[in-house]
Amino acid sequence: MSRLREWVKAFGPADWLLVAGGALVVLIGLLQALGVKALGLGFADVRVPFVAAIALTILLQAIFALGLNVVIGWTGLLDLGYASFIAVGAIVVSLGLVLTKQTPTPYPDMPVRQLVLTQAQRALEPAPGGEVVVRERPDLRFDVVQGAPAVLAALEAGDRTIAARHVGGLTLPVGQATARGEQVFGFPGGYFVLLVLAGAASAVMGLVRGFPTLRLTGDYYAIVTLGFAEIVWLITLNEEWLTGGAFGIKLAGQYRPTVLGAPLYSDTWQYYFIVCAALALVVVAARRLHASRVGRAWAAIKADETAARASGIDVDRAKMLAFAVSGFIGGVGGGLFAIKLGTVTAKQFDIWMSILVVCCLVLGGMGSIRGAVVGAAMLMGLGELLRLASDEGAVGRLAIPPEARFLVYGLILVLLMRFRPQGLLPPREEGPPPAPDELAAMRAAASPLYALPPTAPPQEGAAT
Amino acid sequence: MPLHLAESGWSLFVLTLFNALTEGSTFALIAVGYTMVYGIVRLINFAHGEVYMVGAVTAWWLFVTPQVPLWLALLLAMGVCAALGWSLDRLAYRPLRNSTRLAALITAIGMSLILQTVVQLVISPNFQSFPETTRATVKDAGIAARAAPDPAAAEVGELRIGAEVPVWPGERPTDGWVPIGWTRAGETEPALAWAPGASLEVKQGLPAAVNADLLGGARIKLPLKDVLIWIAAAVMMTGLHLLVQRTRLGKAMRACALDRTTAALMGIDVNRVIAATFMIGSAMAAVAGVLYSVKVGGNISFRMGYYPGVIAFAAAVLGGIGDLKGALLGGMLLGFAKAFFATYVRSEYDFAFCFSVMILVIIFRPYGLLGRPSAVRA
Repeated sequence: MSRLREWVKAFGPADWLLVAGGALVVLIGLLQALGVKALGLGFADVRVPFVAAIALTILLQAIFALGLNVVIGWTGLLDLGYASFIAVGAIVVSLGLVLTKQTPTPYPDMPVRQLVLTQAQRALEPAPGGEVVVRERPDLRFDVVQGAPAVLAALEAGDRTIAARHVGGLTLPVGQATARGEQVFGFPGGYFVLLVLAGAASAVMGLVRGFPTLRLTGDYYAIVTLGFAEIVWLITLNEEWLTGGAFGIKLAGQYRPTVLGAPLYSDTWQYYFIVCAALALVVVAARRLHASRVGRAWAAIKADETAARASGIDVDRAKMLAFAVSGFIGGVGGGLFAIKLGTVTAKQFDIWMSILVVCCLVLGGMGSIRGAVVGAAMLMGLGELLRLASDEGAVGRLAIPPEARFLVYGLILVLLMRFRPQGLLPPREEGPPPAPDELAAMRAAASPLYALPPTAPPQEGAAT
Repeated sequence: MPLHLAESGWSLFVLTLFNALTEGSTFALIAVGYTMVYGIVRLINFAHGEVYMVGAVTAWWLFVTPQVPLWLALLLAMGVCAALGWSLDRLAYRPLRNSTRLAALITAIGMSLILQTVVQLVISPNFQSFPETTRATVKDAGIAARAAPDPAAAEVGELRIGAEVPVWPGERPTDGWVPIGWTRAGETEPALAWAPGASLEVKQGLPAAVNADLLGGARIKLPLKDVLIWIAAAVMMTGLHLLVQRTRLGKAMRACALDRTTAALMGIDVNRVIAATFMIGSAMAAVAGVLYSVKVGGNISFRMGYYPGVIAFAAAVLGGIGDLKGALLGGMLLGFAKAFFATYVRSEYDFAFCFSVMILVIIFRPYGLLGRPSAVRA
């Protein structure tokens, strides 16, 4: 407890801001989950509104930024192809979901007591062939066979549906629809297994890319990662049998994984808290890694690779580990991202996405965990605001096209490098340097050689 | 893909060869800018591909909107790009000359993003092209007189306002003349005569000579626009070679590439030399951008500079970075690789093949084909 107090005492304004932001994020999720519960509705149809959608964008971007930080911030290598790791993660998860769909078990036409329309139907134009969930059995999803006319009839009747619409669901009176369906991905926790697989696949890709590039640094490393990412991008775009090409893999209702009794959509509270938990895990893991022996090795490599090699650090191993960790986080992030996307198209994982992640790090401060999170929050928040402004023309007559945000990103990169290359929240100093007598004591403890009288300056010289 | 895969045998080979020469010349022209800048400043000017793009876009805009002739548009685009290269160096790179190379590279990426977005906002994200033929838009309906010199005129039609009509080569309608449509004997396309009486708006197209076929063969075509790129590449590379080897500025460039600090101590204004390098490289990229878009058609957009830019960097590395002859060699090799891969293997993966070549070269021979291994690797 006292350690916690110590820790809190060291907080600066930025940390309090982060804590407040984190609390806000959790609050949004809780409000949504509880608020809808209080209305007497189930969990299957809980929709987290617009604010939560923005929060999700930020959380996911923070995961990407932390993953990339391992390579850029800590090891000091500029990776311009991080989007390919996210892409591989997203594709592995969506392929896994599509492939592990259980054999369709046809149900006979059955009267449904109550229908809740899912996200796909929210446009109020339900068509036959849409999907429907039965309240009592959220693990079952149905294709609407005769439901559509019933939905329309209910809408015309103007009953409870309108009230229910406000929380995003659409509830129909008993016995109005007939549905025929099949059981979906029933294997509990299957999604998490897939996430780990996605991470592993990306980590392997990181190793495959990392091994031949171990000797490269600086510009050449950056341009090789860029070329590699472009090759992956072209492959995912052109190999339609695998990735669906330009159309992508659509995670229709029957492919959605079931978590805590509800199919996972981007606006369910289950998904929201999974992403929150993932970010928290990544932050904790990043802190631990940074403080570990490997973290020290990375710092040494960043400072001077030759010196690190000379002082006995297994540079190759440490670098490979950084590539694998970075890839793993990117893959898991991509797997989470797939659910939000709904349709995983290869096209969106392009160079701009990679550069956006780099931009988050540059803004927040390369090598800083807080910086990565803050950078993601600022850039994605800004992006969403600009998108909002262009959608609704909220910013007066100043019609800002959504592409304009990339102008802002570019300006951020240029101006920060010019005026504040360490970013807004650079990595914390390691504390004040030890006082001379303290240092002497530490040296004496480390090696008897240092215990020699301090009147022998050549040793100092030799040590440096 | 301008080539038809229905072609076969030696004609396909020859067409691919022409294509490869064109691509290679383009890459070489861009690669020169990379290699000169890298040779002196040790910076991957990531925005160089965008300079190429700005060159093409500027010339296209000048050609389409103020209707400037093509040669003038090309010259103006070169000027604009030289100014752009100068300001890139002055505003973005020079302040960072003494900071880390990572910072400079990130700045270059930022400039690239800014240029791309600005162009996208200005000309819309759609693909544009130099209009192939001159076309006239009718602003006023009606026919004043039948001025057709052709006795075989089959029909005289009234043209709607807003209708867009092709203009015959050699005829340049002006305001005050109204188009009259008829069909020439033996031709199905309606032709036009011009009679006084109404207004029309003329949009110029590429000169017919540019599209003209130099070989005139039935199966093998060699349009002038390909040859233009070859000539431009040859002339500009020779000129640059002479500039670097024979002039004071060239000598200063070589000195800066060897050792910037010592060059400064010898009284060379290093910043001026670097600015000149950026301007020359940018002007050459502009030539590549304009001529290549004239050749290909329909490729002008804010993203057109990205792949050629990266491939040209690869070309510079392949030939040995900092070496002008290396840029030419590397550009040609990658142009051949791309064209032949596209024709004979899979056209979707032509750029992916180039990227693979680049990665392999950087990993196994980072000093390039003409370079020598050095202790300090970039």
